Amino acid sequence: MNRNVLIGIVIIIVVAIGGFFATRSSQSDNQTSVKKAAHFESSTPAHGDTLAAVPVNVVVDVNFDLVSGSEISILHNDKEYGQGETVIDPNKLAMRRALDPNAPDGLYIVTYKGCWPDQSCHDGRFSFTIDRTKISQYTDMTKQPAVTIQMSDIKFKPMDIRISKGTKVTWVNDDSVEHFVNTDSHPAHTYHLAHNSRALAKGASYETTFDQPGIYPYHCSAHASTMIGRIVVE
Amino acid sequence: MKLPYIFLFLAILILIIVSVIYGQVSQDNELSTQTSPNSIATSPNTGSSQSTATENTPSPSSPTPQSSVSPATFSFGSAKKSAHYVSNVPTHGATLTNVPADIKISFNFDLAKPSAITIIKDAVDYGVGETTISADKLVLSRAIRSDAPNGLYTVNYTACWPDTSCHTGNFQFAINK
Repeated sequence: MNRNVLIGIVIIIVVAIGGFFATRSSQSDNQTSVKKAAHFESSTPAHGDTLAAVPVNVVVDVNFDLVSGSEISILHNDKEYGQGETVIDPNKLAMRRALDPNAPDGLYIVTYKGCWPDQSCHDGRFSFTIDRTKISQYTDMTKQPAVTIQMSDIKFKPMDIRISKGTKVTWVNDDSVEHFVNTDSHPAHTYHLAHNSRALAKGASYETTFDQPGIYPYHCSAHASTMIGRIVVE
Repeated sequence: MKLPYIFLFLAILILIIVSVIYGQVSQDNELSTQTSPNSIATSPNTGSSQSTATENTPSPSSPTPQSSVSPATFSFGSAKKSAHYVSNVPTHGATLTNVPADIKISFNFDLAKPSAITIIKDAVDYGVGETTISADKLVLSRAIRSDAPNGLYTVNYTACWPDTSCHTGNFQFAINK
């Protein structure tokens, strides 16, 4: 075999391998890209979120009446981690599906299908990540039957906490401006419906008890872009 | 150019094409496997496999004006609902034999300014005065001109929240005196 043929074979192999991996890289980008279905408004978790614990459910909010046939799939490494059926809320503006509480760390691809009264359907996709190492940044308030979070200086103090299952959490407004305690997303407030207050004036309080392990992201609806908090129930 | 070089050039070209095609097929297979558990159609490169449905679904964001439609044969579009929407009076799709006194839209969360309602027919707003928010902050309302004529009306509303973010919705009703 002469020298030119050998060089040719080497070039061919290098180019072939390079082309293959370039295409594979493009595939990876597609998997983590977001696609919004018609009537999509928001989701919890939001696209790109990194969570310190497993979300209790994935919720998709829309602005049109959902009907049966709508569904959510939650995949990690090609395995389905959604549990039970996809449920449409009574007002038909959100659908939700529970997650396996033992879902491992990593990237999750959520694909959903929203179906409408004329039986047409549209699909969408987003992704989020579970990374339990982030829990080290949370204030440990576990093994207490009740804890209090102050709303002060337009912040939740402490902002991110860990509590034990069954703990009662009370929020108290120390500021002169009104605050709210509302589950994500904003303004749908659908992730955990039992975690929603109306306006809280100075000195007013709101409380709720968390019985299901998982992460609960929330915010103040008067300061939604900055006043946020997270509770991890263990 | 010598024959071996031509052969070499063609071989490289063919292998590049084959490798790209193989990678693409591999990608399609992988995504097909991902979506199969719940049969949710997903095709990242081509958009939705159910994209034809887009053409079949009425867009709630802009109900089509129906000024040329006979008063007896109103054709209502789809209503778009904002977050926290609960109900509205008149209801979407209602045909009234009298002009209603006002439009009321109920929500389950605290409304804030500049929430607003317009009541449009033939590009004219038949709303009277300002949009008001009820004392409990859960109802938007706006009066209608008493001389509002027969026809199809599109109510567009903007619901605003305590952080001044706003969301829009709409619905339609008709008057046929």
